Amino acid sequence: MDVLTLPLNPSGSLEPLAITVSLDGDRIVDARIRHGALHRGIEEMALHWNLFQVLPLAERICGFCSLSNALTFARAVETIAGIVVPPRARYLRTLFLELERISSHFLWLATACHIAGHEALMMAVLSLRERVLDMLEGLTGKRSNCGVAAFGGTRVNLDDADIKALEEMIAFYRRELPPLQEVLVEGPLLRFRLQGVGVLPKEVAVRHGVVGPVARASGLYVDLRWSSPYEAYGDFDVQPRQVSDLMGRSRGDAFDRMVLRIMELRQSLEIIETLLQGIPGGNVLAVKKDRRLAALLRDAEGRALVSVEGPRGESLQRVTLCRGKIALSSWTLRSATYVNASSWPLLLRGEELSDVALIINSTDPCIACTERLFPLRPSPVPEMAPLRLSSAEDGEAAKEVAP
Amino acid sequence: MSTLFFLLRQACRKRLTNLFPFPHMPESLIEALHVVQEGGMEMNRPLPTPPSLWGKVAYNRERCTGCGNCLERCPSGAIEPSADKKKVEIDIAFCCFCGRCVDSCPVSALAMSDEFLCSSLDRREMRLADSGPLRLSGEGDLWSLERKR
Amino acid sequence: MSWGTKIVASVALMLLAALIALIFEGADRVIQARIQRRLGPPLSQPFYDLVKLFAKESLLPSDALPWLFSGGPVFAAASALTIFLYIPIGSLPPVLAGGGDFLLALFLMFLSSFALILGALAGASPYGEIDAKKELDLIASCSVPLSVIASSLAWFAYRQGLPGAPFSLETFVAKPVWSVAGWSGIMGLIILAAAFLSLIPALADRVQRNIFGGSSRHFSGRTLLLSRLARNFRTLAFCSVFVSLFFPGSMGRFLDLRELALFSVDFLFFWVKVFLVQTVAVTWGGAFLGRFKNSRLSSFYGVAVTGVALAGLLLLFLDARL
Ligand code: SF4
Ligand code: SF4
Repeated sequence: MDVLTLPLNPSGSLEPLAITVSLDGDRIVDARIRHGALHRGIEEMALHWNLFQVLPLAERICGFCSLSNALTFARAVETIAGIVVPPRARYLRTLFLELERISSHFLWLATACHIAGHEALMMAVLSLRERVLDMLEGLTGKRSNCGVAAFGGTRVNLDDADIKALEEMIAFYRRELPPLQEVLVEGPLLRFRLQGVGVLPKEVAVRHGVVGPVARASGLYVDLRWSSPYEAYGDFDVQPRQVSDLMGRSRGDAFDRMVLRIMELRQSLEIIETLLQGIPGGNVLAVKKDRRLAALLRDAEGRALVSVEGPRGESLQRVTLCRGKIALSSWTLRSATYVNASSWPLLLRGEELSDVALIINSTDPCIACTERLFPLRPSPVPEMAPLRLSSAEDGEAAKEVAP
Repeated sequence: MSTLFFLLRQACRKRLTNLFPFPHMPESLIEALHVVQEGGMEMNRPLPTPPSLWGKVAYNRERCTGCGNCLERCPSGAIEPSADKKKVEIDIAFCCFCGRCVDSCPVSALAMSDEFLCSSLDRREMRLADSGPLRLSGEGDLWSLERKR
Repeated sequence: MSWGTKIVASVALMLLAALIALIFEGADRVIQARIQRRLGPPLSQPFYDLVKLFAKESLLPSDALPWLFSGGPVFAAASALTIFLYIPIGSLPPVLAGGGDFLLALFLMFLSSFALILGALAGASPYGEIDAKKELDLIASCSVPLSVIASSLAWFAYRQGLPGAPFSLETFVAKPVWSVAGWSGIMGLIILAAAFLSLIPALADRVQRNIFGGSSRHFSGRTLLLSRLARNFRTLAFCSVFVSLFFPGSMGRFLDLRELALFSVDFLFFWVKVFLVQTVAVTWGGAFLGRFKNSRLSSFYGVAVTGVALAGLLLLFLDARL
């Protein structure tokens, strides 16, 4: 057998990954994936900052699961400090988590259409996504990275006009989603393209411990919202969606992952709808005074392991706080993609080279989240003068970049 | 078939993109903007932003007590004590628009304005020492988190 | 015609075809943008691209065969342009008429594709090689239904006694095949036309997923320009052949015009038809179909479309028998 080993550049996979495939003709016999291109040293940075600064940093790990990451962090800190989040804030967090899921799933759909070559459908999906982004912008002031999370609650509150706008948004999606679903799911084109590609059978999915939509598309009942409800999820029906309910059977291929994400879009809309009806009143912050919150956090000590079901699956964080400082003593993140990535070589094996991007994308990878889990090897740091950015004429604006 | 109808319908709908600032890129954007300023050419306006937009930070120097809360909260190190150590200065070039400083200010000397075009050719222009009294929501185009709380 | 006039007419026609190919590409991009609800580039964008690419440096990979690497695209573009010399444009006879010009046009089409693929292979890069091989595969599988369509049409024309050589495009232009077909014949012709139409997006490089940017990946500057031009010319030529075969008909005769007026009206009418075909097949077809992996496309064209074309042939056969 004549095996050709070929490194694929990011244009081959559309992700910042170093993939080396071994090819027999057009078939992939083996694939090796190396991470590390997006390592930004966020965990290290966080150890030098105070908790208030780390929260926005957690938000910026990734643009599309920004709330999940920040909320996981906030929940971990709250657990350690013993802060009880008021009910209204719990509902609001749930609401924003679902809005984030909608925006992320739409983005995934658009990418899938793009990789399948349907630029026109991609634009259609993106134009639908625009509505939820506008909603987020109206509610929080930002379209992504919208800093909703705060220790002990949320930073935003809703008024009646906002709730009405949300209801209008749901009505909009109720109207616009079915035609799109008809094209994507019932139409022959994406089926022809995606079906039978990147099959992940149930047994293998269990063995690899995949999470999130990938696991659910393989027929597993894996959903933290359902199995260990947090925030307000205990109050709603969040039964994990299964492709077999809609399509009769599930194979766990790329097509099923698309169908599942469309089903989850509708599920999120349903959750938001019920949520808006029963949203309790009251405060959105447990500790209103800044000084008191700071004192609470300064006294907190201990560690917590908290996970939240993000749009891509379980996002897990282990947080250790040290006493006497408003600071972390360790922070470990494991994103959903880190788990799902272990199945990539398996998914790629036996497939065609043209499908690499499609398969990797079908698991909705977020490399920015994934590459947070690499231990920094302690190595002697070379002596370096601090980087200075100074304006041309005077040194007045000179500034150290060090955190 | 449904796909074809979908695409046909889509082709007939209004264009999505807002062609800001010009439909097609001019030879030199700066020159074109100068022409616009002199009234020689029309420019497409940016899309309207919601009043809640988090744009550039606005800072009321007079109201600031120099407590230093915002210095502690800023994740990107954009806020620095001013030369006399009594007030602060904000370097918009470093700001990541997280709004944490606005949250932390006990006297509401900071707010997020809805101004979002904040690029400049000169780095010193990005340093904000004072933007005058803040007009809170209802009074103008500035918005503070106060309103939502 | 004397040799001198022939050469002048050929050069003029080729230049015109090149111009039209670029304008059509601009229109294609504008319509594509409309489907995506964008504004799209101006109609003249392909000309800007041409100028830009012309001014850029053409890189030569160190392991490449220089003459083949830079000669391939030149040859591809030239042979694609030559096709227009064999296509009757409106009521004008083709510049280089001959008994088998339909076959010659198809042959030139494939020659142009192969030249480009050879040029890509000469780049001596495994990536270019993979894409070139895929493209070769696709073109080979496209040639099967194409030859079925070509031979069934020629056979039908011969059998129904269309005046002229059966493999000549002029024959089909002079008297549309539709006029000599019965009901099942028309059905068969519709099927053949659909099969032909479905091949156009593949040959216009619209439905295949090129992982490494297709076989033109390693070209740059002038070679990239030529490889893109070759693709545009080929698409245009293919649409023109389709128009000549299935969509003849003269506006000028319908309006009862004579001489120069007839020729010029038909000339314009021909390009309008080509534009329609290109918009339907390439722009809308591409937007509708998306991109597929090459193995599925190869089996689609090699098996499904061939089957459809054979069904068309069967219907034509029935029609001729009855
Ligand atoms: S908005 Fe955030 S980054 Fe900008 S100055 Fe305030 S705290 Fe710093
Ligand atoms: S928190 Fe407010 S009052 Fe305190 S230094 Fe900052 S701007 Fe001034």
